[in-house]
Amino acid sequence: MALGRSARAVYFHRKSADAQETGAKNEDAIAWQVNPSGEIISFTVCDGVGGSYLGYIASNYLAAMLVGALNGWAEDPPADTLTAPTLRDYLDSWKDEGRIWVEKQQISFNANPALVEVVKNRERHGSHTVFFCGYVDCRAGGASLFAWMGNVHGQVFGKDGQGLLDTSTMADDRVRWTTKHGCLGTPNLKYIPTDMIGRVLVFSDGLEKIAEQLTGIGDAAEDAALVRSLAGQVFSDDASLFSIWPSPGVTSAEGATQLPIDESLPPDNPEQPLELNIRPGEGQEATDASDLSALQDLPVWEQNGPTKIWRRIKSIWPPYS
Amino acid sequence: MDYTSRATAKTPAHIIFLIDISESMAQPCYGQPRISVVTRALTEVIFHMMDMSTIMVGNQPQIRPRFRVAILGYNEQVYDPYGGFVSIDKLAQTGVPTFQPAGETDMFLGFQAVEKLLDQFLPTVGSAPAPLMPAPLVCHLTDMEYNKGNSPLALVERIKSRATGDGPVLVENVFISDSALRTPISSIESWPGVRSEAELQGSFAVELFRMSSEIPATYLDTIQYWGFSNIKPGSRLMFPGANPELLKTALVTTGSSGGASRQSTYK
Repeated sequence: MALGRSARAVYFHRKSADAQETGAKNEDAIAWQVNPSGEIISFTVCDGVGGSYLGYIASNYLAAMLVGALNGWAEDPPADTLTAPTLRDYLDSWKDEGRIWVEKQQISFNANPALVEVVKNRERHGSHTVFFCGYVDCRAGGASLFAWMGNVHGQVFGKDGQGLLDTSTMADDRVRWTTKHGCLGTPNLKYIPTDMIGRVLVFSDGLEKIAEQLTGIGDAAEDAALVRSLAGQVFSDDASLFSIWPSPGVTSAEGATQLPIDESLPPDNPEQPLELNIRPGEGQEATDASDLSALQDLPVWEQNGPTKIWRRIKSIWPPYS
Repeated sequence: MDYTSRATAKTPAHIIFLIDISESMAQPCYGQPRISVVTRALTEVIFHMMDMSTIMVGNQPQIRPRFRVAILGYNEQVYDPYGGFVSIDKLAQTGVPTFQPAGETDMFLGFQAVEKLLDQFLPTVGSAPAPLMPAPLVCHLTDMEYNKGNSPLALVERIKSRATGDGPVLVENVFISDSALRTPISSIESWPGVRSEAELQGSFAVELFRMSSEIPATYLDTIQYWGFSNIKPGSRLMFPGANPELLKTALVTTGSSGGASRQSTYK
Protein backbone atom coordinates (compact mmCIF):
# COMPACT_ATOMS: atom_id res chain seq x y z
CA MET A 1 0.00 0.00 0.00
CA ALA A 2 1.43 3.28 -1.02
CA LEU A 3 1.32 5.81 1.74
CA GLY A 4 2.31 8.80 -0.33
CA ARG A 5 3.16 10.58 2.88
CA SER A 6 5.94 11.02 5.32
CA ALA A 7 6.42 12.84 8.58
CA ARG A 8 9.26 13.86 10.78
CA ALA A 9 9.15 14.89 14.41
CA VAL A 10 11.46 16.48 16.93
CA TYR A 11 11.07 16.53 20.66
CA PHE A 12 12.79 18.14 23.59
CA HIS A 13 12.22 17.46 27.26
CA ARG A 14 14.17 19.00 30.10
CA LYS A 15 13.72 19.80 33.77
CA SER A 16 13.96 23.33 35.09
CA ALA A 17 17.25 24.34 36.66
CA ASP A 18 15.54 24.36 40.05
CA ALA A 19 14.19 20.83 39.60
CA GLN A 20 17.60 19.61 38.45
CA GLU A 21 19.23 21.12 41.50
CA THR A 22 16.74 19.78 44.02
CA GLY A 23 15.88 16.48 42.39
CA ALA A 24 12.23 17.47 42.04
CA LYS A 25 10.33 15.74 39.29
CA ASN A 26 9.77 17.10 35.82
CA GLU A 27 6.14 18.20 35.81
CA ASP A 28 5.91 18.20 32.04
CA ALA A 29 5.12 14.96 30.31
CA ILE A 30 5.36 14.23 26.62
CA ALA A 31 4.15 11.10 24.91
CA TRP A 32 3.64 9.86 21.40
CA GLN A 33 2.65 6.69 19.67
CA VAL A 34 2.74 5.61 16.05
CA ASN A 35 0.16 3.12 14.85
CA PRO A 36 1.43 -0.23 13.52
CA SER A 37 1.14 0.79 9.89
CA GLY A 38 3.04 3.99 10.49
CA GLU A 39 0.33 6.22 9.09
CA ILE A 40 -0.83 7.90 12.23
CA ILE A 41 1.12 9.55 15.01
CA SER A 42 -0.62 10.49 18.25
CA PHE A 43 1.09 12.88 20.62
CA THR A 44 0.55 14.89 23.75
CA VAL A 45 2.40 17.47 25.78
CA CYS A 46 1.04 17.90 29.31
CA ASP A 47 2.25 20.67 31.59
CA GLY A 48 1.59 19.72 35.20
CA VAL A 49 0.43 22.70 37.22
CA GLY A 50 3.31 23.57 39.50
CA GLY A 51 1.15 24.94 42.28
CA SER A 52 -1.12 21.91 42.33
CA TYR A 53 -0.67 18.76 44.35
CA LEU A 54 1.98 16.57 42.70
CA GLY A 55 1.37 18.06 39.26
CA TYR A 56 3.64 15.47 37.65
CA ILE A 57 1.07 12.77 38.41
CA ALA A 58 -1.71 14.51 36.49
CA SER A 59 0.61 15.29 33.57
CA ASN A 60 2.12 11.81 33.25
CA TYR A 61 -1.14 10.00 33.79
CA LEU A 62 -3.11 12.15 31.36
CA ALA A 63 -0.36 11.99 28.73
CA ALA A 64 -0.51 8.21 28.78
CA MET A 65 -4.30 8.09 28.74
CA LEU A 66 -4.63 10.65 25.96
CA VAL A 67 -2.11 9.14 23.61
CA GLY A 68 -3.57 5.68 24.00
CA ALA A 69 -7.06 7.00 23.40
CA LEU A 70 -6.07 9.22 20.48
CA ASN A 71 -4.49 6.34 18.68
CA GLY A 72 -7.65 4.33 19.18
CA TRP A 73 -9.88 7.16 18.01
CA ALA A 74 -7.78 7.61 14.89
CA GLU A 75 -7.68 3.97 13.94
CA ASP A 76 -11.15 3.01 15.03
CA PRO A 77 -13.18 6.20 15.21
CA PRO A 78 -16.12 6.37 17.61
CA ALA A 79 -19.55 5.99 15.98
CA ASP A 80 -20.18 9.68 16.54
CA THR A 81 -17.52 12.17 15.61
CA LEU A 82 -15.56 13.21 18.64
CA THR A 83 -16.65 16.62 19.85
CA ALA A 84 -15.49 18.85 22.68
CA PRO A 85 -18.31 17.66 24.98
CA THR A 86 -17.64 13.98 24.27
CA LEU A 87 -13.92 14.51 24.77
CA ARG A 88 -14.79 16.14 28.05
CA ASP A 89 -16.77 13.04 29.02
CA TYR A 90 -13.72 10.87 28.34
CA LEU A 91 -11.48 13.19 30.31
CA ASP A 92 -13.91 13.29 33.23
CA SER A 93 -14.12 9.51 33.26
CA TRP A 94 -10.36 9.24 33.83
CA LYS A 95 -10.23 11.32 36.97
CA ASP A 96 -11.00 8.47 39.38
CA GLU A 97 -8.00 6.43 38.28
CA GLY A 98 -5.89 9.57 38.42
CA ARG A 99 -7.04 10.23 41.95
CA ILE A 100 -6.05 6.70 42.97
CA TRP A 101 -2.52 7.37 41.77
CA VAL A 102 -2.43 10.60 43.72
CA GLU A 103 -3.69 8.91 46.87
CA LYS A 104 -0.94 6.32 46.65
CA GLN A 105 1.66 8.98 47.34
CA GLN A 106 2.64 9.34 50.97
CA ILE A 107 3.84 12.81 51.83
CA SER A 108 6.06 13.31 54.82
CA PHE A 109 5.90 16.66 56.56
CA ASN A 110 8.47 18.56 58.45
CA ALA A 111 7.51 20.60 61.48
CA ASN A 112 6.66 23.83 59.70
CA PRO A 113 2.88 24.24 60.11
CA ALA A 114 2.65 26.79 57.31
CA LEU A 115 4.20 24.31 54.92
CA VAL A 116 1.81 21.61 56.08
CA GLU A 117 -1.04 24.00 55.33
CA VAL A 118 0.31 24.69 51.84
CA VAL A 119 0.47 20.99 51.03
CA LYS A 120 -2.91 20.18 52.60
CA ASN A 121 -4.45 23.03 50.65
CA ARG A 122 -3.04 21.63 47.44
CA GLU A 123 -4.15 18.13 48.32
CA ARG A 124 -7.73 19.33 48.66
CA HIS A 125 -7.65 20.55 45.05
CA GLY A 126 -5.89 17.52 43.55
CA SER A 127 -3.26 17.20 40.86
CA HIS A 128 -3.71 19.48 37.81
CA THR A 129 -2.41 19.64 34.28
CA VAL A 130 -2.99 21.52 31.05
CA PHE A 131 -2.39 19.79 27.73
CA PHE A 132 -2.17 20.00 23.98
CA CYS A 133 -2.59 16.73 22.11
CA GLY A 134 -3.70 15.27 18.84
CA TYR A 135 -3.10 12.81 16.09
CA VAL A 136 -1.79 13.39 12.61
CA ASP A 137 -3.40 11.01 10.16
CA CYS A 138 -1.19 10.66 7.11
CA ARG A 139 -3.48 8.32 5.24
CA ALA A 140 -4.77 9.58 1.89
CA GLY A 141 -7.54 12.07 2.56
CA GLY A 142 -6.94 11.80 6.30
CA ALA A 143 -8.00 14.43 8.80
CA SER A 144 -5.95 15.22 11.87
CA LEU A 145 -7.34 16.00 15.28
CA PHE A 146 -6.05 18.50 17.85
CA ALA A 147 -7.33 19.11 21.36
CA TRP A 148 -6.18 21.32 24.19
CA MET A 149 -7.08 22.69 27.58
CA GLY A 150 -5.78 25.68 29.46
CA ASN A 151 -2.83 27.94 29.07
CA VAL A 152 -0.78 26.02 26.52
CA HIS A 153 1.39 26.81 23.53
CA GLY A 154 0.25 24.85 20.52
CA GLN A 155 -0.30 25.67 16.89
CA VAL A 156 -0.95 23.92 13.61
CA PHE A 157 0.62 25.77 10.73
CA GLY A 158 -0.70 25.56 7.20
CA LYS A 159 1.56 25.06 4.21
CA ASP A 160 1.86 28.83 3.96
CA GLY A 161 3.00 29.11 7.58
CA GLN A 162 -0.26 30.62 8.80
CA GLY A 163 -1.64 29.38 12.12
CA LEU A 164 -4.82 27.35 11.77
CA LEU A 165 -5.83 27.32 15.44
CA ASP A 166 -7.33 30.17 17.41
CA THR A 167 -4.71 30.65 20.10
CA SER A 168 -6.96 32.97 22.10
CA THR A 169 -8.51 29.75 23.40
CA MET A 170 -5.15 28.84 24.93
CA ALA A 171 -4.86 31.64 27.44
CA ASP A 172 -7.22 30.80 30.27
CA ASP A 173 -5.36 29.76 33.41
CA ARG A 174 -8.54 28.49 35.00
CA VAL A 175 -9.09 25.80 32.39
CA ARG A 176 -7.33 22.52 33.16
CA TRP A 177 -7.75 18.83 33.91
CA THR A 178 -7.62 17.71 37.51
CA THR A 179 -7.66 14.42 39.38
CA LYS A 180 -10.22 15.96 41.72
CA HIS A 181 -12.84 17.27 39.31
CA GLY A 182 -11.88 16.03 35.87
CA CYS A 183 -12.21 19.00 33.52
CA LEU A 184 -12.33 22.54 34.84
CA GLY A 185 -13.74 24.16 31.73
CA THR A 186 -14.31 22.54 28.37
CA PRO A 187 -11.55 21.23 26.13
CA ASN A 188 -11.09 22.71 22.68
CA LEU A 189 -11.04 20.41 19.71
CA LYS A 190 -10.46 20.85 16.00
CA TYR A 191 -10.20 18.59 12.95
CA ILE A 192 -7.98 19.74 10.09
CA PRO A 193 -7.42 17.93 6.79
CA THR A 194 -3.85 16.67 6.95
CA ASP A 195 -3.21 17.94 3.43
CA MET A 196 -3.45 21.47 4.79
CA ILE A 197 -0.87 20.97 7.51
CA GLY A 198 2.72 22.11 7.20
CA ARG A 199 3.74 21.74 10.81
CA VAL A 200 2.39 20.97 14.27
CA LEU A 201 4.17 22.67 17.16
CA VAL A 202 3.57 22.39 20.87
CA PHE A 203 5.80 23.49 23.70
CA SER A 204 5.53 24.16 27.41
CA ASP A 205 6.10 27.31 29.48
CA GLY A 206 9.82 26.65 29.87
CA LEU A 207 10.31 27.57 26.20
CA GLU A 208 7.99 30.57 26.25
CA LYS A 209 10.88 33.00 25.92
CA ILE A 210 11.92 31.58 22.56
CA ALA A 211 8.39 31.21 21.27
CA GLU A 212 9.04 33.55 18.36
CA GLN A 213 12.10 31.58 17.30
CA LEU A 214 10.24 28.31 17.56
CA THR A 215 7.29 29.43 15.51
CA GLY A 216 9.44 31.09 12.86
CA ILE A 217 11.22 27.94 11.79
CA GLY A 218 10.98 27.08 8.10
CA ASP A 219 11.71 23.37 7.87
CA ALA A 220 12.36 20.21 9.82
CA ALA A 221 16.13 20.42 9.54
CA GLU A 222 16.14 23.94 10.96
CA ASP A 223 13.82 22.73 13.68
CA ALA A 224 16.22 19.95 14.61
CA ALA A 225 19.15 22.36 14.67
CA LEU A 226 17.36 24.74 17.00
CA VAL A 227 16.32 21.96 19.31
CA ARG A 228 19.90 20.68 19.39
CA SER A 229 21.04 24.14 20.42
CA LEU A 230 18.73 24.00 23.43
CA ALA A 231 20.61 21.08 24.91
CA GLY A 232 23.09 23.15 26.88
CA GLN A 233 20.69 25.81 28.08
CA VAL A 234 19.23 26.46 31.51
CA PHE A 235 15.47 26.80 31.90
CA SER A 236 13.52 28.53 34.65
CA ASP A 237 10.61 26.15 34.12
CA ASP A 238 10.34 22.60 32.87
CA ALA A 239 10.71 22.74 29.10
CA SER A 240 9.14 20.41 26.57
CA LEU A 241 8.59 20.56 22.86
CA PHE A 242 7.05 18.36 20.24
CA SER A 243 7.15 19.37 16.61
CA ILE A 244 5.79 17.36 13.68
CA TRP A 245 6.33 17.98 9.99
CA PRO A 246 3.89 15.80 8.12
CA SER A 247 5.47 16.44 4.72
CA PRO A 248 9.18 17.00 5.01
CA GLY A 249 9.84 15.94 1.43
CA VAL A 250 12.97 13.95 2.17
CA THR A 251 13.89 10.64 0.73
CA SER A 252 14.31 7.55 2.76
CA ALA A 253 18.06 7.59 2.29
CA GLU A 254 18.39 11.20 3.39
CA GLY A 255 16.27 10.48 6.38
CA ALA A 256 18.38 7.54 7.35
CA THR A 257 21.63 9.44 7.16
CA GLN A 258 20.63 12.88 8.29
CA LEU A 259 18.16 12.14 11.01
CA PRO A 260 18.85 8.66 12.28
CA ILE A 261 16.90 7.14 15.07
CA ASP A 262 19.59 7.17 17.69
CA GLU A 263 19.00 4.11 19.78
CA SER A 264 22.38 4.46 21.39
CA LEU A 265 21.39 7.66 23.16
CA PRO A 266 22.92 7.13 26.56
CA PRO A 267 20.63 7.13 29.58
CA ASP A 268 22.99 9.43 31.44
CA ASN A 269 22.49 12.05 28.76
CA PRO A 270 18.76 11.70 28.59
CA GLU A 271 17.65 15.06 27.46
CA GLN A 272 19.68 15.35 24.33
CA PRO A 273 17.18 16.30 21.66
CA LEU A 274 16.11 13.42 19.55
CA GLU A 275 14.78 13.48 16.03
CA LEU A 276 12.46 10.82 14.87
CA ASN A 277 11.91 9.60 11.37
CA ILE A 278 8.31 8.78 11.60
CA ARG A 279 8.00 7.69 8.01
CA PRO A 280 10.98 8.41 5.84
CA GLY A 281 10.34 8.30 2.15
CA GLU A 282 7.17 8.95 0.27
CA GLY A 283 5.32 6.07 -1.25
CA GLN A 284 7.00 3.45 0.85
CA GLU A 285 5.17 0.19 1.27
CA ALA A 286 3.32 -0.21 4.50
CA THR A 287 4.72 -3.67 4.89
CA ASP A 288 8.18 -2.15 5.17
CA ALA A 289 7.71 -1.16 8.78
CA SER A 290 11.22 -1.64 10.08
CA ASP A 291 11.70 2.03 10.85
CA LEU A 292 8.40 2.15 12.62
CA SER A 293 9.26 -0.80 14.80
CA ALA A 294 12.43 0.93 15.77
CA LEU A 295 10.53 4.06 16.51
CA GLN A 296 8.09 2.32 18.74
CA ASP A 297 10.91 0.74 20.66
CA LEU A 298 12.49 4.08 21.38
CA PRO A 299 13.26 4.56 25.00
CA VAL A 300 12.21 7.77 26.65
CA TRP A 301 14.51 8.96 29.35
CA GLU A 302 14.00 11.28 32.18
CA GLN A 303 16.90 12.74 34.05
CA ASN A 304 17.41 11.02 37.37
CA GLY A 305 14.57 8.71 36.59
CA PRO A 306 14.27 5.21 35.27
CA THR A 307 14.23 4.40 31.60
CA LYS A 308 10.75 4.19 30.23
CA ILE A 309 10.01 2.04 27.24
CA TRP A 310 7.58 3.34 24.77
CA ARG A 311 6.57 0.05 23.18
CA ARG A 312 3.24 -0.09 24.92
CA ILE A 313 1.92 3.25 25.94
CA LYS A 314 0.59 1.98 29.24
CA SER A 315 4.04 0.91 30.25
CA ILE A 316 5.06 4.47 30.98
CA TRP A 317 2.51 4.60 33.73
CA PRO A 318 3.17 4.81 36.61
CA PRO A 319 6.26 6.85 35.82
CA TYR A 320 8.05 6.31 39.09
CA SER A 321 6.96 2.88 40.26
CA MET B 1 13.02 44.94 29.76
CA ASP B 2 9.70 43.23 29.27
CA TYR B 3 8.77 41.91 32.72
CA THR B 4 8.94 38.29 31.66
CA SER B 5 11.60 37.00 34.03
CA ARG B 6 10.44 34.27 36.34
CA ALA B 7 10.92 34.03 40.06
CA THR B 8 13.25 31.12 40.68
CA ALA B 9 15.63 30.16 43.46
CA LYS B 10 18.53 31.55 41.41
CA THR B 11 16.64 34.63 40.23
CA PRO B 12 14.26 35.48 43.08
CA ALA B 13 11.62 38.17 42.86
CA HIS B 14 12.29 41.02 45.31
CA ILE B 15 9.23 42.55 46.92
CA ILE B 16 9.21 45.41 49.40
CA PHE B 17 6.07 45.97 51.45
CA LEU B 18 6.05 49.54 52.71
CA ILE B 19 3.33 49.91 55.31
CA ASP B 20 1.92 53.11 56.72
CA ILE B 21 1.76 52.51 60.50
CA SER B 22 0.76 56.01 61.55
CA GLU B 23 -1.93 56.63 64.12
CA SER B 24 -4.71 56.79 61.53
CA MET B 25 -4.09 53.10 60.80
CA ALA B 26 -5.68 52.34 64.18
CA GLN B 27 -9.03 53.57 62.91
CA PRO B 28 -11.62 50.86 62.33
CA CYS B 29 -12.15 49.17 59.01
CA TYR B 30 -15.09 46.77 58.99
CA GLY B 31 -14.91 46.38 62.75
CA GLN B 32 -11.14 45.96 63.02
CA PRO B 33 -8.26 48.41 63.17
CA ARG B 34 -6.92 49.04 59.66
CA ILE B 35 -3.51 47.76 60.67
CA SER B 36 -5.03 44.42 61.72
CA VAL B 37 -6.67 44.09 58.33
CA VAL B 38 -3.30 44.84 56.72
CA THR B 39 -1.49 42.29 58.88
CA ARG B 40 -4.04 39.60 58.05
CA ALA B 41 -3.86 40.34 54.32
CA LEU B 42 -0.07 40.36 54.47
CA THR B 43 -0.07 36.99 56.18
CA GLU B 44 -2.23 35.63 53.37
CA VAL B 45 0.01 36.99 50.67
CA ILE B 46 3.10 35.55 52.35
CA PHE B 47 1.28 32.22 52.46
CA HIS B 48 0.52 32.66 48.78
CA MET B 49 4.20 33.23 48.01
CA MET B 50 5.10 30.17 50.06
CA ASP B 51 2.61 28.18 48.04
CA MET B 52 4.18 29.39 44.80
CA SER B 53 7.61 28.48 46.12
CA THR B 54 6.83 24.99 47.39
CA ILE B 55 8.01 22.01 45.41
CA MET B 56 7.97 18.32 46.18
CA VAL B 57 11.31 16.62 46.38
CA GLY B 58 10.61 12.95 46.67
CA ASN B 59 7.79 12.84 49.17
CA GLN B 60 8.98 15.89 51.09
CA PRO B 61 7.71 19.42 50.49
CA GLN B 62 10.39 22.06 50.28
CA ILE B 63 10.15 25.85 50.09
CA ARG B 64 12.47 27.27 47.48
CA PRO B 65 13.79 30.82 47.93
CA ARG B 66 11.90 32.20 44.93
CA PHE B 67 10.90 35.40 46.71
CA ARG B 68 12.88 37.79 48.86
CA VAL B 69 10.68 40.03 50.91
CA ALA B 70 11.30 43.18 52.92
CA ILE B 71 8.60 44.54 55.22
CA LEU B 72 9.03 48.15 56.31
CA GLY B 73 6.70 50.11 58.58
CA TYR B 74 6.82 53.88 58.64
CA ASN B 75 5.30 56.76 60.58
CA GLU B 76 7.75 59.45 61.70
CA GLN B 77 10.39 56.76 61.68
CA VAL B 78 11.05 53.65 59.66
CA TYR B 79 10.89 50.18 61.20
CA ASP B 80 12.65 47.33 59.47
CA PRO B 81 12.08 44.26 61.66
CA TYR B 82 13.94 41.90 59.31
CA GLY B 83 16.86 44.18 58.58
CA GLY B 84 16.26 44.17 54.84
CA PHE B 85 15.27 41.33 52.59
CA VAL B 86 14.49 37.89 53.92
CA SER B 87 13.89 34.90 51.69
CA ILE B 88 10.45 33.32 51.67
CA ASP B 89 11.69 30.05 53.16
CA LYS B 90 13.00 31.95 56.18
CA LEU B 91 9.90 34.12 56.39
CA ALA B 92 7.81 30.95 56.59
CA GLN B 93 9.49 30.28 59.91
CA THR B 94 9.34 33.77 61.38
CA GLY B 95 5.93 34.99 60.18
CA VAL B 96 4.71 38.51 59.55
CA PRO B 97 5.69 41.25 62.00
CA THR B 98 3.05 43.20 63.89
CA PHE B 99 3.19 46.98 64.04
CA GLN B 100 1.54 49.30 66.56
CA PRO B 101 0.00 52.32 64.83
CA ALA B 102 1.24 55.59 66.26
CA GLY B 103 2.54 58.99 65.25
CA GLU B 104 2.34 61.01 62.08
CA THR B 105 2.78 59.97 58.45
CA ASP B 106 6.07 60.75 56.77
CA MET B 107 5.67 58.97 53.46
CA PHE B 108 8.86 60.51 52.08
CA LEU B 109 10.84 58.89 54.88
CA GLY B 110 9.27 55.54 54.03
CA PHE B 111 10.28 55.76 50.38
CA GLN B 112 13.75 56.91 51.37
CA ALA B 113 14.14 53.61 53.21
CA VAL B 114 12.93 51.80 50.11
CA GLU B 115 15.55 53.56 48.01
CA LYS B 116 18.26 52.58 50.48
CA LEU B 117 17.18 48.95 50.28
CA LEU B 118 17.26 49.08 46.50
CA ASP B 119 20.68 50.73 46.61
CA GLN B 120 22.01 47.74 48.49
CA PHE B 121 20.41 45.25 46.22
CA LEU B 122 20.30 46.56 42.67
CA PRO B 123 24.06 46.73 42.05
CA THR B 124 24.21 43.01 42.58
CA VAL B 125 21.50 42.24 40.04
CA GLY B 126 23.78 42.55 37.05
CA SER B 127 25.79 39.64 38.30
CA ALA B 128 22.78 37.35 38.59
CA PRO B 129 22.82 34.36 36.29
CA ALA B 130 20.57 34.40 33.25
CA PRO B 131 17.64 34.49 33.05
CA LEU B 132 17.56 37.85 34.77
CA MET B 133 15.86 38.55 38.05
CA PRO B 134 12.32 39.90 37.90
CA ALA B 135 12.07 43.66 38.36
CA PRO B 136 11.66 44.50 42.07
CA LEU B 137 8.17 45.47 43.20
CA VAL B 138 7.46 48.04 45.89
CA CYS B 139 4.01 47.56 47.38
CA HIS B 140 2.96 50.58 49.41
CA LEU B 141 -0.05 50.31 51.74
CA THR B 142 -1.50 53.50 53.10
CA ASP B 143 -4.68 55.22 54.17
CA MET B 144 -3.35 57.95 51.94
CA GLU B 145 -2.77 61.19 53.73
CA TYR B 146 0.77 62.11 54.69
CA ASN B 147 1.02 64.95 57.14
CA LYS B 148 4.72 65.22 57.62
CA GLY B 149 7.74 65.54 55.36
CA ASN B 150 8.01 66.37 51.68
CA SER B 151 6.01 64.98 48.84
CA PRO B 152 7.53 61.60 47.91
CA LEU B 153 6.66 62.02 44.22
CA ALA B 154 10.11 62.97 42.91
CA LEU B 155 11.75 60.33 45.07
CA VAL B 156 9.38 57.66 43.77
CA GLU B 157 10.15 58.72 40.21
CA ARG B 158 13.83 58.18 40.98
CA ILE B 159 13.04 54.75 42.41
CA LYS B 160 11.10 53.88 39.27
CA SER B 161 14.06 54.86 37.14
CA ARG B 162 16.11 52.03 38.65
CA ALA B 163 15.93 48.77 36.75
CA THR B 164 17.04 45.21 36.36
CA GLY B 165 17.31 43.61 32.94
CA ASP B 166 13.68 42.60 33.34
CA GLY B 167 12.44 46.17 33.59
CA PRO B 168 12.25 49.25 35.83
CA VAL B 169 11.28 48.94 39.49
CA LEU B 170 7.51 48.75 39.86
CA VAL B 171 5.65 50.80 42.44
CA GLU B 172 2.21 49.65 43.52
CA ASN B 173 -0.08 51.60 45.82
CA VAL B 174 -2.86 50.03 47.83
CA PHE B 175 -5.09 52.66 49.38
CA ILE B 176 -7.07 51.74 52.46
CA SER B 177 -9.79 54.26 51.88
CA ASP B 178 -13.24 54.30 50.36
CA SER B 179 -13.14 57.94 49.36
CA ALA B 180 -10.44 57.97 46.69
CA LEU B 181 -12.47 56.69 43.75
CA ARG B 182 -15.12 58.89 42.20
CA THR B 183 -17.10 55.79 41.30
CA PRO B 184 -17.16 53.30 44.13
CA ILE B 185 -16.32 49.69 43.29
CA SER B 186 -19.43 47.57 42.85
CA SER B 187 -17.51 44.30 42.63
CA ILE B 188 -13.90 43.18 42.46
CA GLU B 189 -14.62 41.21 39.29
CA SER B 190 -16.05 44.13 37.33
CA TRP B 191 -13.66 46.88 38.41
CA PRO B 192 -11.67 48.11 35.38
CA GLY B 193 -8.80 49.63 37.34
CA VAL B 194 -7.59 53.23 37.51
CA ARG B 195 -6.41 54.67 34.21
CA SER B 196 -6.63 58.41 34.73
CA GLU B 197 -6.48 61.03 37.44
CA ALA B 198 -10.02 62.04 36.54
CA GLU B 199 -11.26 58.82 38.13
CA LEU B 200 -9.95 59.93 41.50
CA GLN B 201 -10.90 62.56 44.01
CA GLY B 202 -8.59 64.37 46.38
CA SER B 203 -5.02 65.51 45.86
CA PHE B 204 -3.52 62.59 47.81
CA ALA B 205 -5.26 60.08 45.60
CA VAL B 206 -3.95 61.85 42.52
CA GLU B 207 -0.44 61.84 43.98
CA LEU B 208 -0.66 58.12 44.60
CA PHE B 209 -1.80 57.67 41.01
CA ARG B 210 1.25 59.55 39.77
CA MET B 211 3.50 57.40 41.92
CA SER B 212 2.00 54.14 40.65
CA SER B 213 3.56 52.25 37.75
CA GLU B 214 1.48 51.14 34.82
CA ILE B 215 0.61 47.46 35.03
CA PRO B 216 3.01 45.61 32.70
CA ALA B 217 1.18 43.77 29.95
CA THR B 218 2.73 40.52 31.11
CA TYR B 219 1.25 40.96 34.61
CA LEU B 220 -2.24 41.74 33.41
CA ASP B 221 -3.35 38.13 32.97
CA THR B 222 -2.14 37.24 36.41
CA ILE B 223 -3.88 40.17 38.07
CA GLN B 224 -7.05 39.24 36.23
CA TYR B 225 -6.62 35.66 37.34
CA TRP B 226 -6.38 36.64 40.98
CA GLY B 227 -9.66 38.49 41.07
CA PHE B 228 -9.57 41.80 39.23
CA SER B 229 -10.84 39.96 36.20
CA ASN B 230 -11.98 43.02 34.27
CA ILE B 231 -8.91 45.16 34.79
CA LYS B 232 -7.98 47.01 31.60
CA PRO B 233 -4.61 47.47 29.91
CA GLY B 234 -3.11 50.83 30.81
CA SER B 235 -4.36 50.70 34.39
CA ARG B 236 -1.99 51.66 37.13
CA LEU B 237 -0.68 49.42 39.88
CA MET B 238 -3.09 51.20 42.20
CA PHE B 239 -5.66 49.17 44.02
CA PRO B 240 -8.32 49.86 46.59
CA GLY B 241 -8.05 48.10 49.93
CA ALA B 242 -11.10 49.58 51.53
CA ASN B 243 -12.33 46.24 52.85
CA PRO B 244 -10.55 43.03 53.83
CA GLU B 245 -11.44 41.19 50.62
CA LEU B 246 -10.26 44.00 48.39
CA LEU B 247 -7.07 44.34 50.37
CA LYS B 248 -6.32 40.65 50.14
CA THR B 249 -6.95 40.65 46.39
CA ALA B 250 -4.81 43.73 45.92
CA LEU B 251 -1.92 42.22 47.84
CA VAL B 252 -2.08 38.88 46.12
CA THR B 253 -1.35 40.72 42.88
CA THR B 254 2.18 41.19 44.18
CA GLY B 255 2.62 37.53 43.27
CA SER B 256 2.54 38.67 39.65
CA SER B 257 6.15 39.55 40.19
CA GLY B 258 8.05 36.72 38.61
CA GLY B 259 5.04 35.24 36.89
CA ALA B 260 4.89 32.25 39.17
CA SER B 261 1.28 32.67 40.17
CA ARG B 262 -0.01 31.66 36.79
CA GLN B 263 0.00 28.08 37.83
CA SER B 264 -1.51 27.65 41.19
CA THR B 265 -4.55 26.24 42.89
CA TYR B 266 -4.46 28.77 45.67
CA LYS B 267 -7.21 31.30 45.28
